[in-house]
Amino acid sequence: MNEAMLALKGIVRSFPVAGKEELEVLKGIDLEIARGKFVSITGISGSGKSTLLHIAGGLDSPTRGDVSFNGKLLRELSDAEQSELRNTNFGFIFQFHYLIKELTAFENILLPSMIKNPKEDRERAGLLLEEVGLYARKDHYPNQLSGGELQRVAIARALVNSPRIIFADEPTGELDNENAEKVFRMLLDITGKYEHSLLLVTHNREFASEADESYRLHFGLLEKI
Amino acid sequence: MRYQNFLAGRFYKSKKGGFLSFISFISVIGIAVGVFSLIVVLSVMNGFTEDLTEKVIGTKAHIYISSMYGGIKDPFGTAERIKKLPGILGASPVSSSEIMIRDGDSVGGGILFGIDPESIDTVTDFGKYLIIGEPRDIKDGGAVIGSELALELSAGINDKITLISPNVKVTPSGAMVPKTVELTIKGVIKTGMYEYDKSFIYADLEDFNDLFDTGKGTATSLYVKIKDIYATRRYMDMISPLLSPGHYMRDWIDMNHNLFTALKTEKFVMGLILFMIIFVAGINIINTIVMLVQEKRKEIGILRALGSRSSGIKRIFLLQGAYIGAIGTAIGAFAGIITVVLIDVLNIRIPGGGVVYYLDVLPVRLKVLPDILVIIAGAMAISLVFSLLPASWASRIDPIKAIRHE
Ligand SMILES: Nc1ncnc2c1ncn2[C@@H]1O[C@H](COP(=O)(O)OP(=O)(O)OP(=O)(O)O)[C@@H](O)[C@H]1O
Ligand SMILES: [Mg+2]
Repeated sequence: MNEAMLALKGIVRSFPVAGKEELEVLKGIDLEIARGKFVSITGISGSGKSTLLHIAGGLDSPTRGDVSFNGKLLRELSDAEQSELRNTNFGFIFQFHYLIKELTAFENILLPSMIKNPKEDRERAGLLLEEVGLYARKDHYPNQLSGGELQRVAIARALVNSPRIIFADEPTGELDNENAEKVFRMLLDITGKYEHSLLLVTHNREFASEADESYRLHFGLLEKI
Repeated sequence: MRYQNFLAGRFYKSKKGGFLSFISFISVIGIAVGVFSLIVVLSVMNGFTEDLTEKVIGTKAHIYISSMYGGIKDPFGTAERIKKLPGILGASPVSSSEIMIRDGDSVGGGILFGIDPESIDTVTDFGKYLIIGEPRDIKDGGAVIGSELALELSAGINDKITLISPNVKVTPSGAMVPKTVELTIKGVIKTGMYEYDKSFIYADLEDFNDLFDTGKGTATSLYVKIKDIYATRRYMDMISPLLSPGHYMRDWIDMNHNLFTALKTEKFVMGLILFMIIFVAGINIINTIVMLVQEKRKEIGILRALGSRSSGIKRIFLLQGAYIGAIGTAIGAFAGIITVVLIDVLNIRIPGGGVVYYLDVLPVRLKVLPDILVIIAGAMAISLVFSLLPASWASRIDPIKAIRHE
């Protein structure tokens, strides 16, 4: 149980900058996230939090270093295998909800399940919709929902395939305090209940302090707080 | 449902970038116009070809038998023997040659057919094309002339017509004068082929023999009518042993080779030109999908994050092209088929028809195989091939770049 499910080793990420030498955003990050754990990362804007989260979730590749999930190196997986990993084991929530505006709340939640299997799990999608308190809004389209509601739908979407780990990049960043609190609690409740791991990037010190492990990203390195 | 199909459908129906956008509408219309014109134009060309074929073989034979040494000596006997073969519908002696027609002080050209009125209808549609008179009326110095020729000569029934043979005869005084024959017009034929109606004259075989000195009871050729007009080879092989040496055969395809090759080439070139419309519409499809991909960059990023493979993304956008192609093709095919059917039932007259052109109504013939099938498959293939480019571009979009920066 205690073994690291997701492990980042010596992650370096640099971006080419026109005319100048490379900009090294991450300078050697080591991080392990065990099953069911809640890990938070804070840091000033531009410190590389999103970059780190994208690398951890396999959306971006590090310049150097390795990411492994359950002992398997991500870089050794094919596009199909990486896609499957993201689909079934990872869940993403971003600062902006990124719901698909042509789909209803229910259909948005169902989408990862459809990607997994053409026989989508409608029951679970309905259950999750209920859990985020939006069952009555089932057939509403994103433009009919408020910012907080949209983010709650995005949470349900991230959870529909019962992933092992949720990557959340400032999920409450766009919300007012009251809604931010509500969304954060919901995220914490659900991930706790189903033993999902949670990697949360946030500006909110209060939220960050509730994590099992809290880190600050500073000058390209992680500092434990 | 597969999520790619599901999303492709929803994207397609969305107002911006999707089906309802102006540019997508233009793509659909482009395909539809291309398919429509191909169906209509090719059907008209089929109609012409078929009509022409029918008239060509309706006035002439399926198989011609001629002799290398002047004429066929025993045409009636040979005809009887050929008629006993299976699949032979008829055989009749026919002589033909160019002649001159005297019209007052001037002369014009024509083609004289010497026919056997009893059996001519077993090999051609002669009787069917007669608008005045009957085949047997040509007996005893009668003649049937083409309707256009009748107009030109202002000749009517029972008027006399003088034909001048290229052969000459020597008068008792030693002068050489061309042989002539005077016939009485007893009938008028109208095939609808201007060229034929303008020059054909039919007379009794014996009057022909008389005029050309070809000898009583002979004919320049034997016309044979067969059951399956596309299997002429087989029948010719059957007939061959019945003929004495020096006879040879040709079929209707061979006799009209140039005409049918020209028609085929024309149809091919026309089809190619019209396919260009679909080609241009295909370029519109690229445009439409590029716009949609731009619009959906964020969605593409999130779909990748949610676990769609790059091939899945490709399929979503490929399907957009398929929808445009399918809807355009369906509209075009529907409108095209309706138009062809309307042209057929309304018997649309060609302006100047019958005089300027050989036909007076527009003939059409819808061919499902291969025409319609090739058009539909071609339009769909072009739509898909042109979608491939923007679709594979969409599938290569870096999810991070798509998600970053609001
Ligand atoms: N593709 C890229 N090319 C060049 N520079 C990049 C690229 N992506 C990120 N960066 C740079 O890397 C740095 C870290 O970016 P990142 O988005 O990870 O920061 P962040 O900590 O998430 O900031 P914020 O709190 O504002 O979201 C920034 O300076 C950014 O400009
Ligand atoms: Mg960020």
